[in-house]
Order: sequence, then C-alpha cells, then structure tokens
Amino acid sequence: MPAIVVENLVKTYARGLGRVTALAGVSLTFEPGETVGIIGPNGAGKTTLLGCLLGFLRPDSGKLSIEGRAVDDLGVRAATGYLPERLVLDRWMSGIAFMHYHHALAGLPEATRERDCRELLDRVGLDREAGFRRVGRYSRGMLQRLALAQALLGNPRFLYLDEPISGVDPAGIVTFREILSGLSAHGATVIINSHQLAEVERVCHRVVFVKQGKVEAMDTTRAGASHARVLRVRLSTEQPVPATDRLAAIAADAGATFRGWTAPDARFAVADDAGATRLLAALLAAGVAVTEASPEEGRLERLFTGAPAPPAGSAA
Amino acid sequence: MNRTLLVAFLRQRFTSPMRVGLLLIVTVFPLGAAILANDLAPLAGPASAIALILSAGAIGQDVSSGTLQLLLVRPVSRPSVLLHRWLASVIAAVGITLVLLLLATLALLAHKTQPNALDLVRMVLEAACSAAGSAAVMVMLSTLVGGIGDVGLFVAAMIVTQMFSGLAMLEHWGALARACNEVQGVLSPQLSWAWILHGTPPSWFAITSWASTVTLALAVGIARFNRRELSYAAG
Repeated sequence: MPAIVVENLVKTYARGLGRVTALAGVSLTFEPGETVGIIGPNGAGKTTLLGCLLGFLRPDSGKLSIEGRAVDDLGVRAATGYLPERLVLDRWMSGIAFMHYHHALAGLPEATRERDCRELLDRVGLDREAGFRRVGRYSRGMLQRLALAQALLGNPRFLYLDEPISGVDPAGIVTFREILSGLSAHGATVIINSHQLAEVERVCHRVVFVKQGKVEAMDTTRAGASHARVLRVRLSTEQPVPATDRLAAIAADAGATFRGWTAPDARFAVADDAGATRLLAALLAAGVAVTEASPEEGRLERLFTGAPAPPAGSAA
Repeated sequence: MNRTLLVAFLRQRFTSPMRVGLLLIVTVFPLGAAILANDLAPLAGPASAIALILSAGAIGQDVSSGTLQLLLVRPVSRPSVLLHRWLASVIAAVGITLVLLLLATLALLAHKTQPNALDLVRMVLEAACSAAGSAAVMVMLSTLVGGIGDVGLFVAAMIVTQMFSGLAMLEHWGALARACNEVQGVLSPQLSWAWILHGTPPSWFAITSWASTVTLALAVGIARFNRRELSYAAG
C-alpha cells in the first residue's frame, strides 16, 4: 500500500481578476521507504505540491491521503517532519530551546527530551556551544542543520525537505546523505524538493519532474535502479582505441553492455558496482588504455532541459 | 491544556522590546496615579490595554514571518493554537493587573488607607473580563490580516466609530449613537461586576452580551484561521 497518494490534484491561486494554475491534475504515489526528488523550474508547482501535502494549502480539487488519512490528521502530523526552504525559525530561542519546544509540540516524552535533542543536534553537527546560542545569531548553514534536526524529531515516517542542502558545507552534505540513507532503511518516505540535481540523483530512488503544474516525467535515479547505471570510461588517445565491435565484445564477456563511443569516452551499462569492477578489469586485461572511469552524470539535467539522451551507439 | 503553546507564546511576547516598552507605559502611569491619588480607580483600565498589546499580531505576525508553518506541522490543531494564544494573553494581562493591584494596595496600606476587599474582587473580575474580551477581538482581527495589521484595523474601527458617535451627538441621531455604542461594545467587550458591591442580582443580559461577543470573536477567528493558506506561494 502506498504511503502517500496524490490523485488528480488541482490548485489555483487568485491573481488580479483571474486565477493562475499552480497544479493541473497531478497524480503520484509515494511508497514507504522511498526517497523521491521533486524537480522542476521555478514556478513549476513544486512548493505548492509540498504545501498541499503538508496541509498548508487547500487544493481546488483532487484527493490527497497519507496512509489512508487526511493530510491534516493529527496522527499523520505526529509522524511528519518538515524542513522549510525559508528558514524563519523562532529567533529569540536558543538552539536547544528550539529543539525542546518542537519535541514538546510533537508530543514526545518529556523524560527523553534533553537526550533526544542533544543526540539530534550532535547528529547534524551542532555542538553544545551552538545549542546554547540564540537562533538569531546562527549562520545560514547552522540554521539549515538546526531545521533538519527538528525535522528528524520523533523519527518521522513522512519527511518533507525543501531545498535541504542549500547553504550547507561539504561536511554537512555528507551528514545529510548518511541521515537520509538511515531514514530510508527504517521505512520513512522522504520527499525532497530541490534544485541540486546532482544531489537529488545521488540520494533519491526516484525523481519526479514537474513543469507548469504537471508531472512531465518520472525517472528512476542511480540510487534507485542499479540496472540503469551507466559507466563512462575515458580511454587514452595516445594509444590506438579498439573498434566499437571489440569494446562491445569485451563488455559482453564482463556481463555489461556497450552503449556507445564519443571520443574519448566509451559508455557501458553495468548491473551494479561489482559489474563495473568486472568491466574495468576486463578492459584492462584486454589491454585497453583506461585513464578514468565514472558514473554518468547529467541525466537529470537532460530531463530538466529536455535535451535528448546520448546516442546508444556510434562509430569509433 | 498545552503548556508548551502557552509558555512559548508568552516568551515570544515578552522578548519583544517594543511590546515590553508599551506594557511599561500602560502600567507604570496608572500605578503611579493610583498611588498618588491614594485610590485604586486608575487601575481599572490597564487590563484591556495589556491584553491588546500582548495579543496584537497573535496569528498574523507568525503567518507573515513563516514561523507558523513549522508549528502547524506538529500535531496541534489550528483552533488549539488560536485559543492558547488568546488564553495566554488573558492570563498574562490578569497576572500583571494582579501585581499592579497588589502594589497599589500595599501603597494604600502604607498611607493608612484600607481598600475595600469586595471592590478589589470586583476590579479583578472586571479586569479578567475586559482582558478576555479585548484579546478575543484582537486575536480574531489578527487572523484577517498579516503582521500587526490587526492593530491598524482596531484603531481604524475605533476612530471611525468615534467620528460617527460625535456626528450622532451633534445631529441628535439616536439610532446612529446606539449603533456606535454597540460597535464599541463589540470592539472592547466589558462586563461590570458592580452588583457584587450593591448586593443586587447580576444583569444576565450584560453577561450574555459579553459572553456572546467573546465567543463570536473567537469563533470567527477560528473559522478564518482554518481557511487561511500558509505557503508563501499563496501570496
């Protein structure tokens, strides 16, 4: 049973004398344990979709349900975490007081309040000193970490993250990935609204491309579908490059599929990490001068811009 | 009752320098007047003003800033948030009034003046009723507009009512004068407890009027807040 069901959702806003359509019949389902990225240009309807899912906005028509319940059901809210894009937190509180406040609002037991809050602050990389500092004195990155910590209170089953790594340093991004990985393993449904396409591709199982209020495309990302991985292998141009038939034969022997050649890169479809290792070992064993190998980037960028995928095969 | 909502709202209010400054103005002067005049009468007014200051922007300010979104993701309903903010304003207004009355009573006792105990009870009850009424109206107005636009609405309504009231007096228009009185009663609901001093029966009409005004203001506030959209995308 899907965790979240969105059926034919329509939402319009009054603008002047008319109305602007933000969502024009969006239908989606989100499974337990799934991390889904929502991408799209500015004004596509991503934030509106999140607003409807969180009960901030009332759809004009359509159906929304979370585990079969209404989005504003208090039981659903008790299992919900939210990290907003606009980090307007209560500036007059200290970081730890802010966490205590949300811990109490979430109805979590008072006996574990201090421990839970400290653990989460540690987990997102905010030390004790930062916890005592007033939120109004936090940097953008610290605010982002604090907002993430409050979103994680009570191990939510539904987590909505709006631009979660905006302003976060590289160490924070690594922490964010680890946290998401843990949440997914525990069956939480995570919905990420972000423009950071590389990060979305890295952490999400699936991506939903929204444009002009409609779902334009849905795609499985690298993290979500090991069978779809494409490895880009750069070959040395200082040595003769094997013919494409030869590359295809080596790939087939290693259990991979040759996808094409655009000098100096050859593209191969591999099943998983072990498949990638087998392919590289086979290429090296066959005397192919490999200088670099990396997972193919930019699939989401192509989805975003509507550019065609690279050709499946071409001459060497 | 959700103690977290009450305490957080009051802490937010009392960490605002402007609000604290206004509270000092509306409390220190009446207290000084009461001490100088050796009479508790000047302390009849501050409760309503304190409630107005504390409840101004109770909903609208957090809607505009965006902090209400994080609160409403938690398992607390919108009516609960509104009612707790109203209640917190009333509790604080009554608490401050009690402190003022205590200080003034001590000053009177120091001047060998014995205040009437029943009169003190009357003042406390009237302060509680006027605080509850003013806070209910202000909380209701704060669901209609963002920021502290409710203060503007309240002041504008008072000024317009006063203008029409003056016009009604000049032109001897009884119906308009009556209507202005009613509007002022709605904007600043008060209930007299003087009957406990005179040993007369209470005015059930006055009690019902006050209670219905407070209830209506809160009900309108809840209905409006429930329909209010919170995402900044809503504009």
